[in-house]
Amino acid sequence: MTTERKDLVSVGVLWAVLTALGEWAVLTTNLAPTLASKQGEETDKAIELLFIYSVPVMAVVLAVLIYTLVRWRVSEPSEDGPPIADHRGFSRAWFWISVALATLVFLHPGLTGIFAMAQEEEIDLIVELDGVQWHWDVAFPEQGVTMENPAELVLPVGTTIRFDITSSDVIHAFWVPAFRLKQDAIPGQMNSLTITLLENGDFADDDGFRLQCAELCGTGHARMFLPVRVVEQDEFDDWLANAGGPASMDGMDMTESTEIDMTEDEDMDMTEDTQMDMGEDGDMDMTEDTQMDMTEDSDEG
Amino acid sequence: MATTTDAPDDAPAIGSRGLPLAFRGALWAGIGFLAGALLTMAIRSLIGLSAMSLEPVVVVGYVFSLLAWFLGVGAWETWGKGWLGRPTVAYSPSGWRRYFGFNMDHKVIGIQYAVFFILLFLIAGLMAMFMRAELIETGRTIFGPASYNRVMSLHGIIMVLVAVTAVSGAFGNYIMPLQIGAKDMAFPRLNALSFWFWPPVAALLIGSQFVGGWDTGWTGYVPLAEVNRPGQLFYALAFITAGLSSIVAAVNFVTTAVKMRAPGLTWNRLPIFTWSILFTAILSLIFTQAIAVALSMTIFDRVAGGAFFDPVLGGIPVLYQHIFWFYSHPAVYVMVLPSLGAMLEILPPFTRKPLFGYKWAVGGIIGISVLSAVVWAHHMYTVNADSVSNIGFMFTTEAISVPTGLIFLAAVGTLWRGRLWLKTPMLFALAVIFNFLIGGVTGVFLSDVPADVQLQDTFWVVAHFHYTIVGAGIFGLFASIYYWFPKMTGRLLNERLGKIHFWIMFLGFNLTFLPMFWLGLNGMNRRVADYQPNLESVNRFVSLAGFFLGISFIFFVWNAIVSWRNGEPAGDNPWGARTLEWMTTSPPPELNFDGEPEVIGDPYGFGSEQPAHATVTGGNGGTA
Ligand SMILES: [Cu+2]
Ligand SMILES: [Cu+2]
Repeated sequence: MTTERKDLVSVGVLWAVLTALGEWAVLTTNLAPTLASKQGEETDKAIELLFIYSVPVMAVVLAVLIYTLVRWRVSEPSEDGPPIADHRGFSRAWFWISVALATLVFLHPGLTGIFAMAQEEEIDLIVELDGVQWHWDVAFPEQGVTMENPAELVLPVGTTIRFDITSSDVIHAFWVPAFRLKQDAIPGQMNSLTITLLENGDFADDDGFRLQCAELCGTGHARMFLPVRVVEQDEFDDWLANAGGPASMDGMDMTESTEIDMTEDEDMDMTEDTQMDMGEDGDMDMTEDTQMDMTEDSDEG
Repeated sequence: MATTTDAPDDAPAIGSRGLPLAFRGALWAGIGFLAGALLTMAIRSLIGLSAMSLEPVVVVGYVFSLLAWFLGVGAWETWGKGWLGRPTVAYSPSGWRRYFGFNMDHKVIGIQYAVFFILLFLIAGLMAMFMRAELIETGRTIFGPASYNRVMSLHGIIMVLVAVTAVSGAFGNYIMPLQIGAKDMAFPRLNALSFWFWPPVAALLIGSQFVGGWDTGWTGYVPLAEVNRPGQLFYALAFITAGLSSIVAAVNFVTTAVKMRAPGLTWNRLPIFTWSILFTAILSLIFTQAIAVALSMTIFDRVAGGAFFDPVLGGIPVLYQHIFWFYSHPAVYVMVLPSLGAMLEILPPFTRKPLFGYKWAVGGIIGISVLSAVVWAHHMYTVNADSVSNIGFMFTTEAISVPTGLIFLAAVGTLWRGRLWLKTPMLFALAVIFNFLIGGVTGVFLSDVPADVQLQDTFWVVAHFHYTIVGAGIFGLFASIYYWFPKMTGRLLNERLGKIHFWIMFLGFNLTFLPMFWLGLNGMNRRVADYQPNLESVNRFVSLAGFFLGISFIFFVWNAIVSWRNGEPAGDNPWGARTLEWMTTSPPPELNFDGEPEVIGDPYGFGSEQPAHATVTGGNGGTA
């Protein structure tokens, strides 16, 4: 075997080892946090698949970098290297393989994922969300319940929910990490997002269950989040009833909007969190107490 | 128009004694501002509006002060007088003074850019240290959310401007004309003009902090940018001014690269760095006007009662994002192409091999440039539920990985069987390959719609773009500095300090930004002064790594100052490179070459019996 051939074989072996190690790491590590929605499964599948694709691609460049650094490092070049200005076959193969890979990534998980996520579902519940600097207003139009800056958002598990998302002032974004999907809340525009909830969950145990504003919207942006609790249907009905409106009474014409009365809510400690009052100078109002509450809440979980 | 060379030799030169012209420029700018402000107030009260309205006064005052600034800094004597038919005067002081006025020598301008942008980089880097200090634990740590947003916004815009400008401004100006054997840039006055736009940009960004700063980040999304503090207006004016500089510089780069190449320098002999500067300039020339449009519309809405983006009056907030990204996506290639070009330029002398797949690499640069025009809405997958246009933008974005792959092809092929000579410039060039690999691959996740709906606006994005823009762009800046500093100053940078700088920066960078991918996957959204408690330990690690990264630049600054004064003399060609900039003295004479350069061969013909790339004949030096 010529030395050139030996080098090619060696770097090939290095590539295979790096790829195997990388794929092993990808397949044995769970990178994704808790997932509670059906549509989010596509997201997680896409992310995992892209990691799987990435490993051999990165390994090509890394293998050459490592191999050349070990094999051909010199302290002072006494002579020039071989005058290899191109290699037709190798360059063409590189080009066409990258075309094939880009096409593959586009088709799957790209296109397949988009279509899977866009699948029509029967809507069980409509939730209207209105981003306001710096909280969320929530309404259940079918039940005639309106909540201004509620302390939490409770949703029924096993249902398909259509979120109608807009904003009253600047651009915000809907994001519940455990649901995966993200949708901007834009003033003058109504965006809908359909999510089927598969798992129960509570912000108190898992911070993936929070309706986090994900678009910079000013001083209160970081803490513009609404704790989310995904519960059984009857628990949800109770919550909605306690929130002021009759629960699960489809078809009833509820014109009178009902405001949630915070004082009757059990989760008193949360009220302070979500009702941050951002004055002229937002810093000042982030009191020590509010921060403390937060930490305690999550420590329980 | 009279030119400098028309001026008689005994014409009184300016700027040779007394205060540097930049001070006069500042004074004239102040007077100009007052004139514009008073005029606005007078007109406003005449038409029955309140005279004391900050934003209209600032806009008009600024336009006046910008013109006065240029005249004061030396454009009046060297350029303006010619418009009135009077003889212009030379600006040719010696020593440090030549950097503080309207100097038209591309070598002076290159150094002006280099020093100015390294200063901006250090300042904005310090801001990043404060941001990481705030994020070292949950809750309020040092300054809370309002100040955090201000510092984050300022950090963002300064770093974007540094990344867009530093490599092309410093080395495009200094090195590119040398590489093509030109005596100067095509339009020396425009060149000086393009640099002197920058002090007003800096002044606006500093000024913005006296009126409350602004909190939209560097992207300036509306409607937030139309309802917040007046600092937003300063941001818009600064960004537009920077854009004007880019356009002026781009005209110059394109013309120079196309028209001023030495005899024999055909397109297939053009050094790869010059290719990258040429296409960077073409991108700037085509797309920069879009940012001026988006920001002018914002200013119009804020100052003059416009409603381009106000939904209540029929405006469309999303329109801003389309125009903004129509510029700002190509801008990310303006940020990285020169660094990728520099990386490919550095590999041949430090592997002693020809650049592998030269034509593929040029094709890569052109392909990236063309495709960059049609990918902008990949930043906007979440603005509406219309998945049809998302499919198109997903396709074009993923197609960019093909020409980008060609850059890697050239890099990998050049390394193979090379003689790896690990001097500091080479270490930085190798780091560009490594970092850009991670930056590129993680970008594919963001191009994929199903993955992006989770990763968009999280720390995954922060990590990804820092890997491309710092990992490739800024590492490429330092690769260029270590590579070309000897040419520009005549002295080598200290190798030991250079290596300390490199290793701290490389490790610090990766330790800082790699964990951010995990943070993004685990629900940390970006642009936040506070986060959920379970992310605290990783954030603490990131902050400490970030401070470590920050330390590396102390070694760089120390090295640059010490070596510039007392460094080891470099000679004409310390790296044994073959391109034209190494065939003249370090630093080069006023007209760049002692003789007439003529290109006769390949710029990267290492290891073969090929003739030299070029000869320089006619002067005292002869063939190099
Ligand atoms: Cu927000
Ligand atoms: Cu982009």
